[in-house]
Amino acid sequence: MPKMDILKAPSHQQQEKTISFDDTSVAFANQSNWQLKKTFFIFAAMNRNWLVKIGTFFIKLF
Amino acid sequence: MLKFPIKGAIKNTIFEHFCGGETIEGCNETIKQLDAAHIGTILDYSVEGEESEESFDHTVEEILLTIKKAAESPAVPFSVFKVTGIATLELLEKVQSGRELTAEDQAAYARVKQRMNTLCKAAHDLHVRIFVDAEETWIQDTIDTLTYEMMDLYNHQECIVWNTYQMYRTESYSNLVKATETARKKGYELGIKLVRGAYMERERQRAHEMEYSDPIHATKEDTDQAYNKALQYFLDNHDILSICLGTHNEYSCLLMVQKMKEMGIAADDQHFWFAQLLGMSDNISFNLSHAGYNVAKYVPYGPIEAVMPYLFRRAAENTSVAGQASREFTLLKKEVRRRKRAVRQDLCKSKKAAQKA
Repeated sequence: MPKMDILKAPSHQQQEKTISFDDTSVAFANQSNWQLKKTFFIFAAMNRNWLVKIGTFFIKLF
Repeated sequence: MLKFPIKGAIKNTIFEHFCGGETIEGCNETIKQLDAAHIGTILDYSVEGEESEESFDHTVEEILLTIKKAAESPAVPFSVFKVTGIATLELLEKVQSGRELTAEDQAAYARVKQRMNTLCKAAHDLHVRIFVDAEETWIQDTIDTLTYEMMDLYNHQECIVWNTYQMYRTESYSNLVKATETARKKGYELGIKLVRGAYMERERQRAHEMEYSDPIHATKEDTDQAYNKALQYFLDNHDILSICLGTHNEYSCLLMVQKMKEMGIAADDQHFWFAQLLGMSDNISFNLSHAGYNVAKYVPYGPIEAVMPYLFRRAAENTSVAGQASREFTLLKKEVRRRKRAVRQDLCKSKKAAQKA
């Protein structure tokens, strides 16, 4: 039985670093300024209960 | 059917944020972007088709494609399926209840086993790990039985088939212990995906209507405690277990990281994985991955109309609660402010440099 590929060490081995889930510079590093703005507006919209309720209602109608 | 302007608006906003695409090929860009941050993709075929034999066979074909994709791409470390995608809920429930199966039921159940075997055998032959998702308690015992049969067939050399444990269930911890003991006795590896659970309302409603005791822990704290207890149990038995923490709970992730450090387990040990949904808890996924831990994102895909219920659920859970913004939104605001500040600081520095010159 050959050793499966999943047991190979991944190529991204790194020095262990201290983790902080509040570090937003890492959390959103893959998003350009434009993408981040877009994500911000999507979440800003979803943050409003009334908008989600109305939006869901109308989308279901269509 | 969604009309053009609405479909376009959804596609360019929440669909794009929470889903990989409408097809496997359509997910390639998402897979690439996640891979750039060393985060894997779990392609989740999210279409809940009609309950017919044709629809079940079609689902098997689609899942086989995701297995093939995982075999071809190191950026796709797992595949996944739900047993209700290949069997009727009614049949699974009937099997669990112990009621006598008609000849027709028996034939249908044999086909379910055959579909399950097709998927797990393909995963085994291609060395791809496969998650069997958890579902409602009244069909979960049947799912467990089917899954353990597959493990006994395919997990003796490698941990291919993984079962899911919903820790909001009062019985999940003892089920996990029993499954581990059986795996040890039979000599196969047990892959476990630990989640908190997703069907609480349905579970409670059914328990109330049918007058049996609530199968869910009474409080969130009890669920959290059970989750972390299972995590410790896993660590005590990790010689034959592999784990994927399917959670957006920061404490549970940090607890695992801390325990791994204490036990001298390497961050990238392939028996330890963390998973979150695409577009959610990026603060957890990206920071864990940045520190070298194994992370994957559940990436749902399918035609926009078919994934709308999923998108509604994501929107609903990101609304403010009692005026308190969601954790996601709070972090986004923080990052937007941080980048604005960085731009201002850069401007100041260049002005000063220009003045000096």
